[in-house]
Amino acid sequence: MAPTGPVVFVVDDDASVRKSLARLVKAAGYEVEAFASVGDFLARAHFEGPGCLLLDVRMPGQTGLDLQETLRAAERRLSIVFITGHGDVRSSVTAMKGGAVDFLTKPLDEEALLTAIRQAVRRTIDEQAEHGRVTAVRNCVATLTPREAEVFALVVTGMLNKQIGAQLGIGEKTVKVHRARVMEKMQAGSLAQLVRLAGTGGMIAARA
Amino acid sequence: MSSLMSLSKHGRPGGRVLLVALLALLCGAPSSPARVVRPARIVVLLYPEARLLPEILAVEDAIRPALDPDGEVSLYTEYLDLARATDEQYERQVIALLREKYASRRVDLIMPVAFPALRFFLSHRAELFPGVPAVFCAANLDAVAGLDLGSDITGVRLPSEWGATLDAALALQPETRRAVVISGTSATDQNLQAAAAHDLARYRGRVDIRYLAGRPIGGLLDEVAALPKDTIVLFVSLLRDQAGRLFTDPEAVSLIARASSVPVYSWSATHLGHGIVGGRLTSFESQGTRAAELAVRVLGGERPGTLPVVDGSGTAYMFDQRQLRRWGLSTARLPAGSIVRYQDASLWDLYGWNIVGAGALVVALAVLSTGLLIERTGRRRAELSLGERLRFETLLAEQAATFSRVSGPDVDREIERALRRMADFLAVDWSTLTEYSEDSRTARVTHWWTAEGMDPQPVALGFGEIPWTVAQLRRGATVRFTQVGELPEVEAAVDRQTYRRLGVKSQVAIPLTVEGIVIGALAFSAVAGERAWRDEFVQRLQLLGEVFANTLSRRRAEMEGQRLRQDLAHIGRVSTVGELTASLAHELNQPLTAILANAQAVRRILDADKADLVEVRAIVDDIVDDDKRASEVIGRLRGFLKKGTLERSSVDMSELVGQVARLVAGDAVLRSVGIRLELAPDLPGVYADRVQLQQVILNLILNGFDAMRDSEVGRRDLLLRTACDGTGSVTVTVHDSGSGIEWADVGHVFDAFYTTKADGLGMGLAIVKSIVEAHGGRVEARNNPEGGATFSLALPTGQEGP
Repeated sequence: MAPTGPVVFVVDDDASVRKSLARLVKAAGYEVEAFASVGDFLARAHFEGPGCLLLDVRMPGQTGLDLQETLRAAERRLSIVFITGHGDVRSSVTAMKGGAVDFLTKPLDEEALLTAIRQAVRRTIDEQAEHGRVTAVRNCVATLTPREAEVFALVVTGMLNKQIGAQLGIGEKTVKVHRARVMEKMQAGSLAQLVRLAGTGGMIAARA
Repeated sequence: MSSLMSLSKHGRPGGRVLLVALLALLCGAPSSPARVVRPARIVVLLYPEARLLPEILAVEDAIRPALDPDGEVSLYTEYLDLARATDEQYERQVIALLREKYASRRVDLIMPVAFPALRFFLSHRAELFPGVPAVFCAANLDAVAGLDLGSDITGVRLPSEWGATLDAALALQPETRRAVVISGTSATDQNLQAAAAHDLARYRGRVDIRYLAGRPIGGLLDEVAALPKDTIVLFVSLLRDQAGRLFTDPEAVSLIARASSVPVYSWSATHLGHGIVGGRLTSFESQGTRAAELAVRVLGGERPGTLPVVDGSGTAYMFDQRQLRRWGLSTARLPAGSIVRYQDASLWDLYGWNIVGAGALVVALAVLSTGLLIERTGRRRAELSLGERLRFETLLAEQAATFSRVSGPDVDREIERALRRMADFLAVDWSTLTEYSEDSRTARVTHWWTAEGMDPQPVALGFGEIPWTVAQLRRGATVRFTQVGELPEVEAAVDRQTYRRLGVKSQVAIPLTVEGIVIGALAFSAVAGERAWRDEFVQRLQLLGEVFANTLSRRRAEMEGQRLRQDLAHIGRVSTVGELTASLAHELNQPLTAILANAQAVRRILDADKADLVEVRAIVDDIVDDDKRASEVIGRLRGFLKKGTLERSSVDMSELVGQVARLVAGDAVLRSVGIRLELAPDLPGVYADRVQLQQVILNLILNGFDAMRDSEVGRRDLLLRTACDGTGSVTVTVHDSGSGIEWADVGHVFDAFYTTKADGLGMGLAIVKSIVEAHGGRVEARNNPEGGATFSLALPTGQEGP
């Protein structure tokens, strides 16, 4: 399945609300899929494209907050706009801490809803792109030999080849060879780029 | 002793018997010390009270002659007055006194009577009577845990056979669903109450047993006067009420039995004849006799340790014929071997109990016999007259019995019937019952009867038209005249004019008085011709007046109660609305959200180049549906808030429970409660007020929600079930998985303002009970074996309301 545009997933146990929201979101130009419960949504195949969740907080069975937790634990990147019958402070705080884009109170203001959906879709795209970058860097890191990884970790801290050689107990020339291999494998054109990549991949090691 | 007391109490001509009995009692006093040549054996009787209670007299009457045939035993009695003892200080003083008194006397045997005396003895034995053997008597140990009697104590246990009494009561009154147990605050009261509770525990689930322990007598009497028909009263003991007033059991039992709206059962033979129906009764004489036998053996040198404690003796099924008749209970249903006393009950007994004091009866008897003596005409004439009197008395007795039974709408019918029968008997043309308003400013003729062929009587007569008559009646005086001319010429001038205008020739009017306040009048008038009113008839009419007065005041109380119930139900609804706000907001929000989103969607669709009109049509239809849904929510709320009078119709409880469950569905989600419905299809209808029953179910559900507040999420289950039990009742049960009911709260959960919740008013379940009972049903609460509680109600089916 190759969706053409962003998909908004509506999850609400109330049939009228679910149907009407799906219509509105669709009329605003999004693809829409609607679900009556968290379980139904989770039963759907994993979705990795652009989109967002329009999620009711309180539902029989698993709540919207439960779904947020489940998605986070599974490292699935799909931003959430919560909707609720009555904004209670505790669940809105929980939702926002959990990374929700917005927490809207029913009945829904059209502008606020569509703005929130736009932001959520954007965030999903950003997060997915970010995740793509991190994955790429991690894949590169995975190709390094243990010695190259050691050298990489020390290079990005700004140490000179000489210092690195002394610390690792190898010759300066050997360090130089490893360093060139690291630059190549990490596809970095400069030391600055390599340092940035190290940050993306979560690789900055503390100086021993 | 009990029969002696009943003789004097009820005013039977028993003065001589009383005198003889008193003399006999006095002659039985301790023997004079002068006769004792060698030191007598000393036996000390310890009584818990400071009064000559009938039970104590019975025990002592049995012990004294058995122990002291030759005057070789010196019997000391100590009245510990434990009913009054409320502090340790008092008990210390008693101990000091006893120690002083018995320091120089060698006591051979102690006989504690009743459990509080035994407890006192065991507690202070080492200090007071070290090493002295003891034989106790009439001590109920059924509910006493961890009592160590030691090796030189034996005695006779007081049996508690409440199970047998309740079984007998259930056989006599199979409709019984509830029992109210009455006891006081003295140590004896508490001991006997605990024993009763111990005995009655096994009836849980079959009979709803409520303990009215330690209340002030006034409130207690009010409470027993308003008990519903399916209830019985079990009288345990009331030697001291909560306000500290002291009673003897016969006094207390008489008060309770007189006030009670339902039959009273008891356990002691000393209560028989004082208004109880009966029961498995214990004889204190027998207790005393058995204890005396043990005492004689101990004094003869046997060690108490070798004499086993006698377990309960001297009980028998005993009943009072007059009470059986009063309550319409069949002797055919008495347990085998029952002793039925007071079989010679006269007509007086039938209605004399609750309506007239002993004094009035004595006067009435005197009038009757005087009337017989001075009868001037011949023997035949006198016999006729006697027959006439008997018929009249029978009539009165029947009226009294009828009015003690009927309530609600039947009262009006019975009053009219009574007016007709009395008018027939007295051969009068008009009979009228007038009720005065509570401020005594206006009067209203509420019931009347006019003899056939007579002009109809005025049903509205202003106070101003008969001012003198009204003034007399208000003072409590009877107005009687054979000719209008007998009325005072000046003071009653207006009255005379009115009576002449109306054509009233003779009249007798009797004030209806309740607790000194005149609440109305009963009048019999002759229109066709003059007639005389014989004293004896007027006397009896006054008795009838008392019956009417009682009936009317009871009905006023009932109406007041009904008004109160409606107010309560309204208050309950309004306060529940507060609790429901969150739920209602949720319910309204859903359709409103859908309507708005649909409208916004349709606007976008119409803005587009090619609007899909089929889609637009579908959306608009949905908007209409959601709008309807929203107004239904509001309609439900409005119907709920309506403070109406009772509107009874045939109600399908399954449908109603389903409706209320939908009403709280939102609330259930908020509270993470799962509601499960098991609704029986095709239930017979319940004739009831729909709105009130919705209130009942709602309160029970909200109660269940609250009970599960602290339960683990995922284990908050509420099961609503309806069923038909096959005995003409529909039952609804609300089963929660919450914290259950604390044992201490079990008897009180339905009491008004009784709450275990910090933020509760304590009205919810009280409203439930009052509404259900007003519908002739009953409510019950019990804990589930697996945790949580089940509240259930049963409502009678059918078209006729109670």
